[in-house]
Amino acid sequence: MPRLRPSLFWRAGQISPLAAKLLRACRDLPSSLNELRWIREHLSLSPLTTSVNAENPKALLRLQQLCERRAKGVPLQYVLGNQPFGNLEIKCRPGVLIPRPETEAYTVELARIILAERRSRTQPSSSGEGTQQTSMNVVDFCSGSGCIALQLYSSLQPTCPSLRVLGLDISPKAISLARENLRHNIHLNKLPHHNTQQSTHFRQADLFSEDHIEKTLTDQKWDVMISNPPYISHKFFAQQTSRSVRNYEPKLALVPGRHLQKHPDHLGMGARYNCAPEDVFYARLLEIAKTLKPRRILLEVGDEEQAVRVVTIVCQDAMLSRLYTDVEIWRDEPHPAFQRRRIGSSGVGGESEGGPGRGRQIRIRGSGEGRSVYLCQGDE
Amino acid sequence: MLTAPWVCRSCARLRPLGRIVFPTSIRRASTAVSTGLQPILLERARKITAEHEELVASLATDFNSKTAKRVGEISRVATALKELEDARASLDELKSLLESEDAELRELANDDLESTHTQLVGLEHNLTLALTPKHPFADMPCLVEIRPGPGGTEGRFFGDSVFKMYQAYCANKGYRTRVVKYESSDSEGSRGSEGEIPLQEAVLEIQEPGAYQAFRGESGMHRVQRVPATEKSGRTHTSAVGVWVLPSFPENETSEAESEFDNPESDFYIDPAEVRVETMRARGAGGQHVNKTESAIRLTHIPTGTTVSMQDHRSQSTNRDYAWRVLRSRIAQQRREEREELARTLRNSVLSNAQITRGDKIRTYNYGQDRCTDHRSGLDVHNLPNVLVGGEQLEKIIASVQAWLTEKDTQAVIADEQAAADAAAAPAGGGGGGKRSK
Ligand SMILES: C[S@@+](CC[C@H](N)C(=O)[O-])C[C@H]1O[C@@H](n2cnc3c(N)ncnc32)[C@H](O)[C@@H]1O
Repeated sequence: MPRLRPSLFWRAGQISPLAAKLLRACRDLPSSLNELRWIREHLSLSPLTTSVNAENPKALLRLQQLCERRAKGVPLQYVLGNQPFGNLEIKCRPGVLIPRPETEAYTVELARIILAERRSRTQPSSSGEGTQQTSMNVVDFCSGSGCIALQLYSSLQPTCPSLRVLGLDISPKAISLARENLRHNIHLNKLPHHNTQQSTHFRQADLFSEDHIEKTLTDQKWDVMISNPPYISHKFFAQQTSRSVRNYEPKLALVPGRHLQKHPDHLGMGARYNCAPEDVFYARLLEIAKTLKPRRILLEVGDEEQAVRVVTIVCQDAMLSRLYTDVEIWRDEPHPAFQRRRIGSSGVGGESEGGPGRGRQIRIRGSGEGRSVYLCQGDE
Repeated sequence: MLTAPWVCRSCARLRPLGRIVFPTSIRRASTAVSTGLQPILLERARKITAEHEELVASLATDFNSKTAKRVGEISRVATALKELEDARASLDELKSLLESEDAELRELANDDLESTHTQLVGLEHNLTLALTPKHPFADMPCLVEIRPGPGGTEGRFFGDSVFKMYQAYCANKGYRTRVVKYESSDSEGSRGSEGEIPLQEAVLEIQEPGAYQAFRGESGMHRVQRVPATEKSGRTHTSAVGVWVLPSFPENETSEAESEFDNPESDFYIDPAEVRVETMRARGAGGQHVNKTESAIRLTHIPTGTTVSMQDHRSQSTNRDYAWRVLRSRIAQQRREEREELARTLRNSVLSNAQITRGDKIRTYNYGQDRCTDHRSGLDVHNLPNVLVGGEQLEKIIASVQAWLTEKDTQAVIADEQAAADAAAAPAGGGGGGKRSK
């Protein structure tokens, strides 16, 4: 990491000594000033420290403490204990991954698409079809803090009278935080209380266990499957992640464990996947998709290359490629429809080796880095 | 004379937060001589009153909500005209009493004469106001955008002062506000002569209905003259800050807002397909690789090239919502300005000279002379510090601009009436009769 120029510290110090302190973690002046303001705003929300000024030494002390922790490199979200996500407030705690803005963007977009389709289906027929009770079941694999599951619940809840959202994660810390987030947002009036027709649940489960997944999820129909699984390779973890990610966030959430590939006896499945180690969650998720056959699948990926590899798994599989006729790669900012672009009809991977993707139309939407793969079944 | 009383901060909070009442009759005291209403306005008022009577009669027999709406719009004129005519009648009465044989009666009439006269002037003013069409955004809340003009850091420092001035003014008046955007520039860590932070751009939302009307006169270039903190030789510098007041949609009326946003006829309508949305992220991998706290959004309205970027808030959805809000407001204002421009070109050229265009300076804040001058109303106030903390002196200036705006709008009405009358007088089919033919 390049060293910051001393003049920058001096300039920050002219504005506020705390801003100078925050520079060590924030690396530039506008971010330091923004974060300082956010820390102040955060304190002003707590009854003991409503006014952060000279008359309130307690608040000043607290401000110092928080800035100190942040300056050490602790992520701001852990320092303040939360992160806004969609219209929710998600609590954050060491041991559980902090929700990312890219995740928020595609989650909101997915909800928008689902709602738009529901609206167009219910509007034209005032009798019969439109009024029919359609239930909606959503499963979020690797749910972590619960951000995705809870935001989908929040967005879909007003229009889906019958709605079940299930979040699964291997980490007990994540599960208990996700449950806390559900309660917390109900308490804040950002989510409605459960009723018999609408609910969100979180359960501990290992994605690679057939007992946990296939044996327990097949008794109902799933409409949406979404996941932000660990997807960083060991190499990229060392080279491309920021220091605050490496030092403070759980590696379990970021890097697929070596055991999943190396040990053929791990739950009997590890060696089954013929793919790069960092892609093993996608191989497994798509295998699950063949059993659950959800109408829509959305999987977060690390970059455009990984997106292409995931698409290739789909294209290579006879069943998946027949089922999912609509295949898209979404970038960081997926919304604007007019930016959709058709990659030539040779399709993904087709050019180099005339490979498996030949003939598939892959749409890439939006701007930024490739961020997720979206699959949708055609209308029957 | 101020019609809106100055209220202290704590009292203001107790006051119900209703509509903003802005002074409309500042000039009255100084122009308390009845100059008589422009005949053309009186004629217009009579026409409208006749229409009013007709519509009211028709409503009695067959109710129609469209008619009722029109009646509501024009009843102000009918009432104002009636009051004016009553006052004129009593003035005539008084005058005839002055001829009376009875000395005591004559004296009484004489006593009454002056107050009736003053009243008359007020009523004439009221009628003029009633005839002046309300600005279509008048009842809306507003966004106040503050952007330093080109050139040195002085403008950026003063931008901060202007932002704080409006914030304090609203706090003093008890108006609800919200900081939509406050961006300081990166390149300097220094402070201005008054301890200001160099401002890049700020947007303050004033959430009260009617704020647009109350603040629209603030739009334009605000000029500052002072000695910068860094200036060793003590030379006074001149810099400028642009203040732009935009209409903003009231937030709680979401269903109304939404339908307005979906309605292609509305000034606030934007086709989402014409907007490029970008998330601005530092170089390198995103997603799980980094846990940056910023979630900046940039919107570009492609047909007009208008861009809005927003990164002030921790919440991405707030940044997004606010960016859309600002974009809609800017586009609505642009559309409105285009129409006003069109209307102006149809009017007499005399008036267009009085028009302030975007680059013109409207006000000067001179630190050395402790003076603030508004170049449109011509008002000069001293006690600059009081202006800058949003005190009574600022209120006085804002009120003078309101009066100036009203006058200008009235002139436009007169000009429109004159043009219509000329057009009517012109021989049908021929173009040579009137001064201008339609
Ligand atoms: C990248 S995090 C995503 C968290 C959350 N969905 C989000 O978007 O912020 C990946 C999550 O996968 C969980 N995980 C890792 N291995 C797993 C496994 N074998 N089965 C289920 N979950 C697993 C981790 O505990 C972590 O919470």
